[in-house]
Amino acid sequence: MAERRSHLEIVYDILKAIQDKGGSIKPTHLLYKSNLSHKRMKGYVDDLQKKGLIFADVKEDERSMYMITDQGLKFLEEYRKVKEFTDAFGL
Amino acid sequence: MGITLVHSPLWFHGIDIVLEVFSIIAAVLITLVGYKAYKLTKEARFFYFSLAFGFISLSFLARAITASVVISQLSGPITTLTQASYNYIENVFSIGRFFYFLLVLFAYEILLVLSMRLANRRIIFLLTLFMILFAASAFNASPIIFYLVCLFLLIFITWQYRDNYLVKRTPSTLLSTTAFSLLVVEFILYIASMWVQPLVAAAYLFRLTAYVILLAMIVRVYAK
Repeated sequence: MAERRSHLEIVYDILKAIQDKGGSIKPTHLLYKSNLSHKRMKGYVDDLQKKGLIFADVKEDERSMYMITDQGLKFLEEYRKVKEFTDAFGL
Repeated sequence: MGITLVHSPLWFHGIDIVLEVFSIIAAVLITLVGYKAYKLTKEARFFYFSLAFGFISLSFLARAITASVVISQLSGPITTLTQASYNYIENVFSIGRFFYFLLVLFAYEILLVLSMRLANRRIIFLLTLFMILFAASAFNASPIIFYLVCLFLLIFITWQYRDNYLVKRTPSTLLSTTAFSLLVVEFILYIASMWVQPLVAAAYLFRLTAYVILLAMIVRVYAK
């Protein structure tokens, strides 16, 4: 059985999903990629918006897209380094 | 009264402090990177990892200071001193050595707990008590128990890191496993040096190489 993801791993997965889609993603795609319930994803997305890691870009047809910010990209890079370092010690 | 103050060849006195300084720099850097991981993630395991290397840094510092004080008290290669000087040096040496032993044992205990993912607080508390007793048992006595305990702790830590490497197979996991394997050799050499004194120098070199490898791993990760 796969281990439960930590809060930070879920944040990483959400940001990575947006980055992999070229920096913006539709909410439905993010829901699928993040592997979370709608309620939990909403909570994470709100939290990430408050922290300035992503923002919602609402189009004229009222369909929104989630975009990753520079701060979000910086966080991803930092997290990758920390993860490789800590993985080296099996932490 | 003729005494042996430091368990290493006289020609190595001074060189050991230089090697110690390099190891301190490497250990401090690992401490800082570990703390950075903690600041980013707020996960306790990264804090304890950082704490372990903080203890290692302090242990090297304690040993370097002790060696400096002892060497500064010795004029030339003659180790025959007055009783007062002998008592002073012996006290400095014993206290410095005790702190070195205690800090190293605490550090390896933390690394073992983290690598084996031990969560039972009573077992961790029991292990901590053992570490204090092992360090105290080496106070003013032969350090063989300390070397043996460190050797066994390091063997189990390295074993875990090897398993981690076999699962993940990344250059970083390989480097950390290699570095800790060298630390195992370091303690085997310390034990052997009880009979063949010059092996202390080899032990220091193995440790320095291990820390250079850990540094290389950090540079590799952070210079990308």
